[in-house]
Amino acid sequence: MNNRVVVSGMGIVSPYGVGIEKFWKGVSQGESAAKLVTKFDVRDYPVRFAAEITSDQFNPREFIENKKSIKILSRATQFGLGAAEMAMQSAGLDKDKQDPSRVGVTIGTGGVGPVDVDLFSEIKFSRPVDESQKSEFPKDNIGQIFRIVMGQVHPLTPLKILPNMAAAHIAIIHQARGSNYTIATACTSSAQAIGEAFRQIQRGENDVVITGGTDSMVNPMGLLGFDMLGVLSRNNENYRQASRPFDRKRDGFMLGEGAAILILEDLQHCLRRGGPIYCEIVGYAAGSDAYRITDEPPDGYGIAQVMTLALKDAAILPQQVDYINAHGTSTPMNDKTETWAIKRVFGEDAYKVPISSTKSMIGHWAAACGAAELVTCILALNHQLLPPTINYEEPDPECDLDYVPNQARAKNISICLSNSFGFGGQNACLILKKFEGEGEPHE
Amino acid sequence: MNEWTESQIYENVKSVLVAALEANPEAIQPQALIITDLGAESIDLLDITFRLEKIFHIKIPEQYLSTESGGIGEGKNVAEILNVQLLVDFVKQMLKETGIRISQ
Repeated sequence: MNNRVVVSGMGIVSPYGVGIEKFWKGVSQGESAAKLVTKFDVRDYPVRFAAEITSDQFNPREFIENKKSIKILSRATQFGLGAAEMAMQSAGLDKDKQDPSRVGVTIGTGGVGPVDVDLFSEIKFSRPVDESQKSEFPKDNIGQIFRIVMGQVHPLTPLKILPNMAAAHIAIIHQARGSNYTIATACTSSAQAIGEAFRQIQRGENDVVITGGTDSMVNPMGLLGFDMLGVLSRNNENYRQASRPFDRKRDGFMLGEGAAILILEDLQHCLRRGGPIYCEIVGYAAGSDAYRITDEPPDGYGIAQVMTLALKDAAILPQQVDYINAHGTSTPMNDKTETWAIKRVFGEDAYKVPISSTKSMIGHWAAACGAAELVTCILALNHQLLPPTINYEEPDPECDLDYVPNQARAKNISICLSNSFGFGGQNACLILKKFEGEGEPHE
Repeated sequence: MNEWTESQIYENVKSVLVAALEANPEAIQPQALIITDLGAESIDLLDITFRLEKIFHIKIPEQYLSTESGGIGEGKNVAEILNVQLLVDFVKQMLKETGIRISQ
């Protein structure tokens, strides 16, 4: 018999600002978090907007006790540490009262690690005594170009780039000496991180796992790079309406950034210490399309497969699902394929289950999207309110389900399903349930 | 800069330590131990090296400022001997070796 797993804490750093309250206010009121990018000069960029976290919204110094560590934290890691601090506080977990060897960390992060704006800007600094600068810049010689460039950047820069740094710093700060994993499966990363954390507790490897994801692709590389792949909306004029999942005029996603961290805990462990319970996690599945790098198979078999397996894992029938939080990126392909896959799994019931895309409001947080969307599901469960898909104006004949258009909807819900997919073809599905049983659910 | 005063050197070393270690400026005293009292770890010594090189236009030998013995500690336990004054003296010596004049 597997251990039951509950969510006992949550923290979020989002383009609405810091904390669960602001996040819920934003997504439940259908407010777009889109902004014109201020962090760097986006003149002549094909895409000039994103769901950016501005410096007045988040100050890492308020969350990180070891101030001198901030210099080696990427922007994404800073968000992650802020969200982890909030999550631990909301769980009421006192690190001195836990067995540290049974507190794990599993975090979803970006592929090669975030490339921060400030990291690039460091290159303007120079080491005047470096002999290399006296010679001519060696064009067409990548080895020598890097020798010169790296000679100019701060020597601790490599520690900013490593993808496992969020998980490492969280472990140090919270004395989590249990298993420590970083999952980098592009936009599926944080959903898989939470799923794997769920398994660790089910199997009894850890009592507590600090999990979720963090990413910050709102940087020149992210904004230009995703545009080069043709997946971003270029609707600069009406940027608050750019992200419009399932709408007929959708033309790509809006980049976002942020971190969502959850505390997963063994139910009995949580009950013994009288911790809060936000929901129970009951099902998870991960798989791969094994098809193409960025195309989804037209019939969405990979997506259908993870939804089917997660339902089976949870021992839940499709008709019992009260709400689906879609991956819903707002690209023409994703939303159509996800719709088909939902129909494939749910049959006629697909038309009855409300589906919404949080990305319509907060944009696409890349590696962190699954965690932010799971937090959305948990808040929906606790408030009995479904956040909407905003900017939904014109139905697409190929996307003909109930997408909770434009306004939140009150509904009695008990079971939520959350989808996440990523470039590379990885798919993950998580299923949550309102907590029922001994102990008091958290209000 | 062709000339540094003693107090300019001290104040610049102090500002490097404050920035690299996020230290309280009042904690930077000549006898304060950089590793033991001010909490520097290996990566902070790399950071301090980088900042000193930029400000003073000197080239500090690699691994000279290190938590391991063999560099500035001359074989002694670095954590017990590397204080602010020793670092200031080291910078002065480096400046002199590059032909910079140091005045009072």
